[in-house]
Amino acid sequence: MTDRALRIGAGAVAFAGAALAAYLTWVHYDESLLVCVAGGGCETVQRSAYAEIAGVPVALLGLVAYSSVLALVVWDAPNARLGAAMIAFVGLAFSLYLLALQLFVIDAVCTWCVVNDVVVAPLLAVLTAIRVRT
Amino acid sequence: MASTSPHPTKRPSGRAIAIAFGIAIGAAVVLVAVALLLRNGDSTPAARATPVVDLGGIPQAGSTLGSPSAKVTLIEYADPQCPACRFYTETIFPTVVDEYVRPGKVATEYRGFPFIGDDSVKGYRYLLAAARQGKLWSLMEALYRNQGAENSGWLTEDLVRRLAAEVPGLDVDQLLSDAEHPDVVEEASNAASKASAAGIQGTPTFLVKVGDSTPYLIQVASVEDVRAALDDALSG
Repeated sequence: MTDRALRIGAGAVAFAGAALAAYLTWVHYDESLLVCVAGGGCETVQRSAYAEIAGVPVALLGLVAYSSVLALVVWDAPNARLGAAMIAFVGLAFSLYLLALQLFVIDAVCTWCVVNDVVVAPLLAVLTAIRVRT
Repeated sequence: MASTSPHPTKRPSGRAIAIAFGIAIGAAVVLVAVALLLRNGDSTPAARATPVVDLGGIPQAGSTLGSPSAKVTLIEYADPQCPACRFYTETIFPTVVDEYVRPGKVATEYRGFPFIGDDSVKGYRYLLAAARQGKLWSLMEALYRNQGAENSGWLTEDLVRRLAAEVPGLDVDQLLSDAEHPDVVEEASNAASKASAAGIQGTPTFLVKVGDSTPYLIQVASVEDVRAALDDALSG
């Protein structure tokens, strides 16, 4: 895989992550979208005590993180590559923590949150890590 | 690895990368620790002492609130523990009552979908017991504005006794006795599977029935949504 392909891939994944986080931030703030779904759901997860840190929605933190990675991928200086990988790594670790919360603490799974935790965050961490030394 | 873009002139050294990822690991640990320490407390809204809407003088029969001759029926599938049902009751339901139910244009029917936990079924038993006295909607309104966190054990007999005592005309002892009646227990226990079989997936779910026609699903996320749906049904 060429570095250009890796860069485009990392940018696309970061953009997808930002879009996902933006949607989840919107859902978090829009009370009218609240519905209780059998088997739990985004709404249950998004209304849990773990959905905010000191009043800031975790989805908003995700939006900031993905936007930062996207900006660093566009910039593409060596230090920007390292910075993107660092943020993606922290994001992956935090996503795994959020996944554990959904499975073992909140007892409800939010589909789009899991898409982020299992697909987007790991993929971005791998792509940005590969690009650090290429 | 082949490259088609300008190669970075100064790649980070192995040491710089090790330090960077050491910092990243530290940052991840700190972030998770801060997240656990500064998470929100109980996010359940506080109980309200006074009714969100006055139901006095509006006919109640069984699980239906409103005139028996109302042309349109708004059916609500709900769970007593569902925070979204509480949100509907506190923010949209008062408008439905004041603009449509009290004038006799629309009746509204409560159907239980108690799926969240044991307290959901327990709460629905009390509502069905209240329905036997034509007070389901009065008790429902009181339960929702005093709702606690899901499956936290908030729905106690003491709470029901206190709230029921505030409902004019509701015989509290009869209510508590009826809640244990085998027919009520069976209906409450079977309600969730019955609603699921009817295709209901979450709460609140709303359907509109015009006359004796087949009910159809509507989306209610705001007062405007419910006004549009009911006005449409009334004009049809």
